[in-house]
Amino acid sequence: MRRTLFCVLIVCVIVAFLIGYEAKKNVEIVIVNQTIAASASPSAVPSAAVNKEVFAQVLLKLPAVDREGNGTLADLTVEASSGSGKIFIGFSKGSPLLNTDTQDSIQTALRIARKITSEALDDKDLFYTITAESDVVGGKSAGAAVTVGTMAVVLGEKLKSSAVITGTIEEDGTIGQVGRIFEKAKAVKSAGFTTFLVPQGEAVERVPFETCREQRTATQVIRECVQQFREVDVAKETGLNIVEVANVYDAYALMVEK
Amino acid sequence: MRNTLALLAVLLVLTSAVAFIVGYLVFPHSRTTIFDAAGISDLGKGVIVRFEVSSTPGEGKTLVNVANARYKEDAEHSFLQARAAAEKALGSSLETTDLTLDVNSEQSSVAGESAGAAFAIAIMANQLGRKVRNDAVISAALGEDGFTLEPIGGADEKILSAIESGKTLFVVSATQELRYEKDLSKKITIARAQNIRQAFQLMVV
Repeated sequence: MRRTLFCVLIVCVIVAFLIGYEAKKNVEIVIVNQTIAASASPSAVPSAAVNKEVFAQVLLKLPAVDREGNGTLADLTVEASSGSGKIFIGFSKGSPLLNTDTQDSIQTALRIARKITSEALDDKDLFYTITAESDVVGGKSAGAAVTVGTMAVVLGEKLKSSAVITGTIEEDGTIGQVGRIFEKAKAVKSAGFTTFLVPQGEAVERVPFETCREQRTATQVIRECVQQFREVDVAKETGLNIVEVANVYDAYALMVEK
Repeated sequence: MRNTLALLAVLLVLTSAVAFIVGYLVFPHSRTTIFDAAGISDLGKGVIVRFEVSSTPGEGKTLVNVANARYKEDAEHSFLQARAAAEKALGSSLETTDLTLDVNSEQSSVAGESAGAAFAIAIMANQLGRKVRNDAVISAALGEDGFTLEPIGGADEKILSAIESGKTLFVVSATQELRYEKDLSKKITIARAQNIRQAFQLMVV
């Protein structure tokens, strides 16, 4: 009897120890999951923040063009945790390496976010992760999206799940042109979004196409191709609500949930 | 009898509560290793750059802090490769460990793969709770197998900067060519390592 009681006691102690250990480990995961569930993101992704209390998370879709020239969408996650002003970019086998252009866009986005909030953000760490097909994510076309995501995280606001943005970001908040809007818009449409924010002057795009002529001789076929351009009204062709935005402040006002 | 049972139940609850608290408190926290690596400045001069690798229980993420520096893709790749090399050398998975890399020097850009071995050693030291020697520097790239050390460029300039920074040991790969080895080795011990395990033995206290 005494031995049985002793064994029960030992088992209980071990189980309680393990529960305590796991409880600590799961505290952050619960916080992260709650934030993901509360976010306006169309789909949830794992958190990039390092075992810290994530108090804000935003998931945005990044329109891009793949190696074959077709439009595609990448996932951008922006998170904020308590910290000391560090800016982390995350990468792994599943998420691509971020080149220095994208890192520059992140810095510009932060300077703008600091201006808006009048906060130094020294008490926060920010985490950026992009998940895409390509091994390396390059170019500055994610600048506007990175800035909108950063503003939402810092201000603690939610973004609409129906809108996507493309464009570079300048120091004064101007959104610069990026090109390949029509291809990107097709990907945006097929992913189920309704609004696509584009830089000024890019709602109508000159899209290249080839016209080819074949000449047959007795021994061979000669094919001659000429590249031409046609003007594409992206809204008409895709059925999307295309909105031209001059700066990130206008873009944010259109993307934030009221 | 009833009193004894009640006493036993109280004892059970109390010891379980204590065990729960102990379990909660012993959950491992983040560990950080600070180490120096050698680089080449834009002017072609050797420089010693201070890095910080931290590991935290997590989901196997790899992150770099871009607050003070830009990382070129080859440097990011090198950190990922170092993670895999450390796993291989330790014989254990880092699936449940998040790793972060930070530059502590005033360095605007981190590029190249020559810090690969230094990253791997820092990750291993962190995992094992060992310290990287602060008087030693390693400059070698990791081979495709994630084990062998490969030669790097600008080794002589890097060794010179290590001497100027007061270091006493500089580790290079076994196949590293040095133009001024004879002169440099009068001022610093130059050691050669074939693989990451040998380098770890040399670099860690």
